[in-house]
Formats: sequence, structure tokens, C-alpha cells
Amino acid sequence: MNDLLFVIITLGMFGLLAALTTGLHKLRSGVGDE
Amino acid sequence: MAPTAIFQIVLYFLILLALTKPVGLYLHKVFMGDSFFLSKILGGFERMIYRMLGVKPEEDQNWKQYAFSVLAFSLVSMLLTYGLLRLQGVLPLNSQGFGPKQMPEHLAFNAAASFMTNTNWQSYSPELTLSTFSNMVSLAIHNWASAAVGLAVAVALIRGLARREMNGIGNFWADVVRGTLYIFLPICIAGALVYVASGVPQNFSPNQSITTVEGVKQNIALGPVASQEIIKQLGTNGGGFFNANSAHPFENPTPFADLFTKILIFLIPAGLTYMFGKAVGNVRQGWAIFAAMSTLFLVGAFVGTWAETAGNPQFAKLGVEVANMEGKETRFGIAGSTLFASITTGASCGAVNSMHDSFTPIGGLVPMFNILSGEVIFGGVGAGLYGMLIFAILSVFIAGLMVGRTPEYLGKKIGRFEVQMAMVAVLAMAASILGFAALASVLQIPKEGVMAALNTFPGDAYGGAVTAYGPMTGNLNNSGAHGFGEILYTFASATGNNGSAFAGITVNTPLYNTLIGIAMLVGRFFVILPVLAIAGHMAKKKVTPNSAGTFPTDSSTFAMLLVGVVVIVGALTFFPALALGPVVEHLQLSNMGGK
Repeated sequence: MNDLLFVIITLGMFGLLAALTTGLHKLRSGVGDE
Repeated sequence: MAPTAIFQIVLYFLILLALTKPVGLYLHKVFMGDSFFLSKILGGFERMIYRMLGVKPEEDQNWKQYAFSVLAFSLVSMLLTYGLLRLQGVLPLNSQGFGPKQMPEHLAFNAAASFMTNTNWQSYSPELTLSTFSNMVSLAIHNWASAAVGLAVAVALIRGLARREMNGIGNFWADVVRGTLYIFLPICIAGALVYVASGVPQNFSPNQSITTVEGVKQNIALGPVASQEIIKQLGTNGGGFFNANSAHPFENPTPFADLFTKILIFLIPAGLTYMFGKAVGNVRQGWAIFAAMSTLFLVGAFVGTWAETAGNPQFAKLGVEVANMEGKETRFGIAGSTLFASITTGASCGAVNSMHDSFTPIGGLVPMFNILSGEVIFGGVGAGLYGMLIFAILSVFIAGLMVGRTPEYLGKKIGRFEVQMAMVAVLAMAASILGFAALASVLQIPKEGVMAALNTFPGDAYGGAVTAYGPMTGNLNNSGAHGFGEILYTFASATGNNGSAFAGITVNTPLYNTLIGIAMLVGRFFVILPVLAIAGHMAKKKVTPNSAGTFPTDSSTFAMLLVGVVVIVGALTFFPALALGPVVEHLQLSNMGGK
């Protein structure tokens, strides 16, 4: 049972990182960005 | 400070200086597609790996594709390691009879995160926890893979800075394969033999039970130590075969082995600075980065050695030997230990040949500051260079603000996006270190309930499970300033992906293992992702010719500015925390019992 918990924590962390990658990508269109 | 101490530090630095250019040239050949002697021999094998993986090495990835490849590779390898560690009881090469009891869920999570992120923090005692299979396969594979990932990211950033008006920054899979095949593999084969010749064991023997001259039974662990040792140092991993790490005579048997170890740790990070300069078409750019790293390294090494030689002022009052030898191997002495401490924390290695917890407050401040500065003093394989290049971008930004010109680096304008990304990396590190250290300093654990379960020490060879309740600081061996220093060092080491321990803190609890595991993931990827974003963005930019107003970044002035920015950012971010730890501890020690 606890194994599932730690797999979920791992997947959650990487999900956050994948979202961050997409988020950073969107920042590229910021004003003043050459 | 003894002349032999100065000689040791200077000799080490001169050897490193001599190796930087040849290693850098070799790295350049490997990653920039040149033909060289090893690629002629192993080229067929390399192409076979690509065919098996379905990879087209000549196909460039943009930064986002590169980043998703890094994340996918890391996620899969972390989950695989978690599973293999939990299943060590039913897997082969387990003459020790270890199973899931020695490797509970939270510890497997911590160990998998630790090795995948190149941290190699060890909450466990390897000889009481890990089967030979877990050592050689489940964890050792990350010693190679995590180092190769760090190297790949640095190479991607170098390409991003060197390329002009291009979309791609290389192919992640090809970079990992080339790094492993042409850099780690040949050096590890040769280096493992050097370790064996020095007396490091390399076998599959079960633990040997012997009787000492005092008549006490002692269990001596044996196994494939040399093969673990070489990649542990070369890949700046740091996770040892033995709990005592490089203080153990089987890991570090002779003064030559100790010097060899120290050179291995900085070998690739130093070479990368030259490779960077060559790749951007001006080797002076690389030497400027090398000079900044060297300045920070040498100042730390000399201050640490001076502090440990000066020792505890209270001992001096009693007229006894003042040099602080507590927690140090007499085989290595003061300089052998402080130099090692400066190297292992300057890099994100984390191997230790002495107990950093036993250093004097100022002696302990040096390794702590090295980690807090982002481990850019040569740094981890790849991680050191990309960390320092983030500071280089911040430096030209600050210099640009001072003179009122648009900041440029390598002829490319630094825009808002690059500075934002550099700040994401710097702030994520600080938030993780300070946030987790603050939490561990104030959290109260109740006697019962979920939080109590989270702070239960697992049963091991020495006894059953015990729940520690009350303040979370109850896990510390020391109270006051030194205890706070232990907490700060723990989360700095985890977030910085260093893995060395100040010790003096019991961290093999579910709560600590989980928090430290998360800190390691934050420290690794909240830097890698912004670095790749910068790489992708810089690759697209045009190069404008230098003008009279261009701030030269291949000069000693820039190297010193870079040193200043690293120190000031580190000091501004962490000085309040350091003041509560080693600084106040030093003042207490100096003033104890009045003058």
C-alpha cells in the first residue's frame, strides 16, 4: 500500500516538472523578449 | 599552516590545471562530432545502440523535446530502481540475505531519488542494507546514468551558447550514449584497475567473519568495491560501498589512492570549462570560468585548512594539541581531510574521507558554503558548468545594469527570459534549502497518528521500530547552533545534489527520507529545466559583433566579477541561516568561559 503512495509521490513530482516545462515554454512570448 | 599542507593544495591544483586542456579537448571531440581513435573502435557498437533504441543521433531536439527526454529517462529509471530495491529479497546476488525489511518504502524512495539525481545521499548503512545486486545494478547504474545526464545537459547548454540562429540543442539520447561509451567507460576500466592495484577489493565474496587481536568477532564486508569507487568519484556521485565512505581503508587505502580520488572528482568538471571555451570559439572564455572556479576553490581550501590547523581555542587554553583531529583519519591528516572536503563539496560529489560534523565551525562553514553557492566550484559532472554559466548570465546582467547597456554574453543579447530562468534556478534552490530546514527546525511530532507514523525509525539489525515524538529536532545529536547547522547542511546537501552528510542527525525515518527525497528532485530538475530553456533560447539568437561598449567576458575582470556574484548571491540568500549556525557557533566557542 505504501509502495503505491511513493509511486504516486514520484509521478506527482514529475507531473509538476512536466507542467513547469510547458509553463516555461509559454513564458517565451513575454514582452521585451528578443 | 604547515608547509606540507600548502604543498598538498598547490600540487593538487597544478595537476588539475595540467589535465584541464587535454580532458577538454577530448570532451570536445566526443560531443562535437569529431572523429577520434575510440570512435573508430567503438563506433559500430554506438550505432548498434542507436538502432536498438530507435534513436537517430543526427536529429536535433529543441529544448522542450530535450527536457522531456531528460524527464522521461529520469522518471523511468527512478521507478525501476524503486522496484528493484524493494524486490532485492527475491533477486540474485544476495548472499547477505537482505530483503524489504532492510529497504522499507520511504528508504527505497529516498535511495532511488538520491541516485537518480546524482546526489547519492545514503540514509542507510550500505553494508547492513544492500544486497550485492542492489549495489551493482539497482544503484550503480545511476552512478553512470545520472552523471551522463548532467554531462548531456551541460553539453546542450554549451551548444545553445555556441550556435547561431538554430532551433536544436543536440540529441539527448546520443549525448547520454556518447558520454557513457567514450568518457565514463574507458576511464572507469582503467581507473578501477588503478584502485585494485592500490589495494581496493573487487570480488563477489560474502562478508568475512574474523576475530581481531583483541579477541572480538568482526564482520568485514567485501564485494565489488573498486568498480563502485571509480564511478563514484568520476561521476561525482559520492555514494560509497561502505558507510565510512572514503575514510574506509578498503575504499581509500593509500595516500596515492586519496590523491587519485581527488583528481577524479574535478577531472571532467575542469575539462568542461576548456571544452566550453573551444566550442564557443574562444578558449579564453573557458579559462575565465576556470579562473573563477579556481579562486573560489583555493580560498575555501586554504581557509578550511587554516581553521582546522588552528583547532579549538578552548584546547589551546589547556595547553594541549590544538589542531582539530577529531573525526579525521590520521592517515590523511588535516590538509588531506580539508582539501578533500573542499573538493567533494565544491563538486556535487559528497564522498567524504573525514567527518565534516567534527570540523571547527569555520572549517565546517567552508564545505557548507561550497554547497550553498550552488556547487559551481568546478561542481558536479555537467552540473557545475551549467550552474556557473547561470551565474555568468547573472553577472553580465548586473554589469549591464551598472553601466546602462544591454547585457550581452558571447555576442548574444541577454533578454528578460534568460534572466527569469536564471532566477528560477537560483530561487528554487534557496526555497528548498531554507524552506525544508525551517520546517525541520520547528515541526512538532505528536505521540500518535499519521505524523507519529511518519517519524518512526524502522527496525534494523540492532533493534525494533521506535517512534520519535516531540520536536523534529529530537533527531539531532547536538542542540543549539551546531544542531541547526546539521539540519541546514542536510537540506543543502540534498538540494545541491551533493550527498555528503554533516552527520549528527538521524535521517532514516519516513518523514526525513520523504522530505529529503523531494528536496533532491527539486534541486536537480528546477535547475536543469531552466538551463535547457536558456540553451534553447540562446541557440536561436543572432550574434552581434563586439563594440567598444561590450563588456569582455574573457578577462580576469569578468572572472573576478563572477566570483563576486557567486559570493554575494550566496551570502545574501544564506547569511541569516549561516549566522544562526556556524557563525554563532564560532563566536560561542571563542568566547566560552570568558577571555
